[in-house]
Amino acid sequence: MRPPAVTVEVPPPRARRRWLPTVLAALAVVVGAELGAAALGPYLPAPDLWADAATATKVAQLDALGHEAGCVDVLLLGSSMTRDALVPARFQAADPSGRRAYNAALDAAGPVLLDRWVRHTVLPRVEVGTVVIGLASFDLNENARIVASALEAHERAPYSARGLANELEAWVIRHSALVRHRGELRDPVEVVRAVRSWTEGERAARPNPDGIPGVLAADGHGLSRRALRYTGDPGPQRFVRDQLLNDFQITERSQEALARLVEGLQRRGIDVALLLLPVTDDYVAQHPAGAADQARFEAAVAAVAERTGAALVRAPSLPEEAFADTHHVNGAGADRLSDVLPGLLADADVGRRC
Amino acid sequence: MTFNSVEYAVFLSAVLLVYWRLPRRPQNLLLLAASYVFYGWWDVRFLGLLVLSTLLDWVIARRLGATERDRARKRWLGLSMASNLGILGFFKYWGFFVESGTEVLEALGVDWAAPTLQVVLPVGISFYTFQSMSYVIDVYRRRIEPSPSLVEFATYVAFFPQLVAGPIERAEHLLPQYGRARACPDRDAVESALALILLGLVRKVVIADTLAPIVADGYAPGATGGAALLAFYGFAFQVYGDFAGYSAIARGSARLLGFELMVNFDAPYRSPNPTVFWRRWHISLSTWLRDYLYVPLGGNRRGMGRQLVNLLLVMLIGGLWHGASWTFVVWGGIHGLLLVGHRLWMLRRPQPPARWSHPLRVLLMFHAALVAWVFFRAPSFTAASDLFAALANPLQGLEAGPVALLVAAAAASTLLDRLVVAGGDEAHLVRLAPVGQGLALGAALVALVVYAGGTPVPFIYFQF
Repeated sequence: MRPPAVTVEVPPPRARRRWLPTVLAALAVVVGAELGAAALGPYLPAPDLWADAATATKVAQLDALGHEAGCVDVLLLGSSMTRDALVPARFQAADPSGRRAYNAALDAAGPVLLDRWVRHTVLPRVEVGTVVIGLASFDLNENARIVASALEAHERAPYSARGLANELEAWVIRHSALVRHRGELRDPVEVVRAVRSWTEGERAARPNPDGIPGVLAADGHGLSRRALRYTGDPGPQRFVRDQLLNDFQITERSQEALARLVEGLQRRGIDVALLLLPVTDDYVAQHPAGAADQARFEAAVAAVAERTGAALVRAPSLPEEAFADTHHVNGAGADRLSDVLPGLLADADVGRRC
Repeated sequence: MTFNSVEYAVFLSAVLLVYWRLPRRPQNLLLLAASYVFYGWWDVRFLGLLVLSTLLDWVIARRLGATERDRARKRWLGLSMASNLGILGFFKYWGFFVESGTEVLEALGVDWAAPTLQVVLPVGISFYTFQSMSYVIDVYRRRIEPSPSLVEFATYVAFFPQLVAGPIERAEHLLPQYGRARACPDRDAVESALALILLGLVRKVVIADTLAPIVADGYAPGATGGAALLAFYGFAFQVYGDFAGYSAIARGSARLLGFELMVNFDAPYRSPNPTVFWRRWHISLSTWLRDYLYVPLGGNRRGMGRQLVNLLLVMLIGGLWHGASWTFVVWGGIHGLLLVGHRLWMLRRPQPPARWSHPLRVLLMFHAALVAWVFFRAPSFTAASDLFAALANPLQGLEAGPVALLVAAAAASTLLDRLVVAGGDEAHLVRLAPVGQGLALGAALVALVVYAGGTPVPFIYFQF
């Protein structure tokens, strides 16, 4: 028994096909959509192109710095602890030679994230003479949840994701308003709102060098904790235990990541100082092995400093009143640290200008 | 590797690149290898199950073809059915049967500690099992000869464009295509194939994935009446876009490889009654159920009463085929009752309905399908009843954004059905005037650019 023949249901062939009208019509739609998106773009909410709003704002600040001066003498790197602890304007005022500083620290940024951030985003925008890397024990904790999730967000964001496909996508995003704003264009309410703003001439807010009111200053330092004062709340302590110091472990790998960051900067002729930031006794107590873990961390940083030739600088201890929580300093603490930092760097003989 | 991923585009391109440089036999081998890679991409552990199912049915069909003795033939058929349904039953329905059995025993006052087994559902098992079973049944019925080539049969079972979610092909349609020399598709075939893939992507990425979060919100515990209303309507277009999109991409991919798969959807929401609906929705399954279940049960040959029972039974089993849950059985049951009701109505009023009533009947059928979809989508009867309860207050918390999205998605779906799909042929796009084609192509590209960057949503029918 033979199986029945199968008919292939393709459309009947046509004698002659005209490609040009099809291509031109398709192109007209695509170009029209692109032009429409470009015209509407400034009135749509800012697209999420970086890991968070603070990162996007820092990029805008670095762009402005690059255009104005093209150079930063002292770049302050680290996590939110560094962001809140060092005020560039105070540093510059306290510095006898008046070096220009900028705080490029990012939320929950460990050495791996900082390495990518500084290589791919900071240094292509500004020249740097000296980098001060503020450190606390969770930066070297191999298992810190908050550090891992910040790195993941950084690697997922269109403008900071690496790899050929991601970089190609980033290129397309930079050059096409339709692609750049597609997230906002998916929401009809946003589109209607943008059209209304367009007719009224009201552009939407964009990350800008002035910072974020109450969150980030124009020189990159954090504002949100300046007015706070640590009162020994168990909430922050629990957060530190669960997200920062969870399964505390300093490994070869975490030390290697820090060393790689330092050596990468040194290869570019940049002086590097590793700054041990002050923390409260309550923070130290949250480590699984308490002060012993804190000591292990300090020894690990010292080992990296010795191996790389980077300067090791210990920030002065601060009283509990100078803290906003277990490990972030408040305004008083930040001012104090920023005032003493030029002297500490001078003592360590680091301070190359750009 | 889903059809709406970059991986699939690279995979299909690589296969095509090599495929069209080979003669027929190596082409089949390449297709088989590619299909196993495609399946193994999901979970390599279940590749063995697919191979086992294939070997078993190939050997059984050969035995069936080699003997004329009725008893022996019945025994071989029984073995195939038992093994196929046994594998399907274990992997898909074990938990369901154990849970249901325990509940029945508990209701009877019997205390029984059910054996707990965490059985993972192999992707596509319902689809390839039905496809393989239909082959053995057709050999048993002497509609087709058993395939002499294991490679051809294995490729028929595992053909990657339709392996995971159909269309459930018939051996008499697809299997001979592996035995024939295949010419590289001409420009018309390539154009229509690419049009199918593009349409499928628009249906999935633009329509279905846009509606997915709106529907999810409506089925979430504590959803407002407005969210429930949007989910009630939204799921109809989501599931249609999702599944019809998958089928279109499957057909387009197969056409690029020189194969023709059956049409699976034909504008189902334009159906004026349940009978027409089931001729237009998931056609490969409904015709499978008709040919391999409804007809063997007696179909309409044993009187009206038996016909109605058969209809109901087939739809209940069709519901259970979708998922191991009583909600799917109820979904099938509702459609069974609709078919029974329509058949009875036709008995009382055999004359064709007035033309003016067509839009009303379409609207009525659409809403009947919407009610049934609630049981298909809801994870439990509680969730279904919560949704119905929330619908009592449909304006509560109704937001303009999701409403606009739903209206736009529904309009796009309807427009695709009206302008692009003609008689089930979704490649009708290539027959439009050149400027019309260009405008449609441009609009599709823009829509894909805007919507493709969202979070990828898995195809709904993969879970079956």
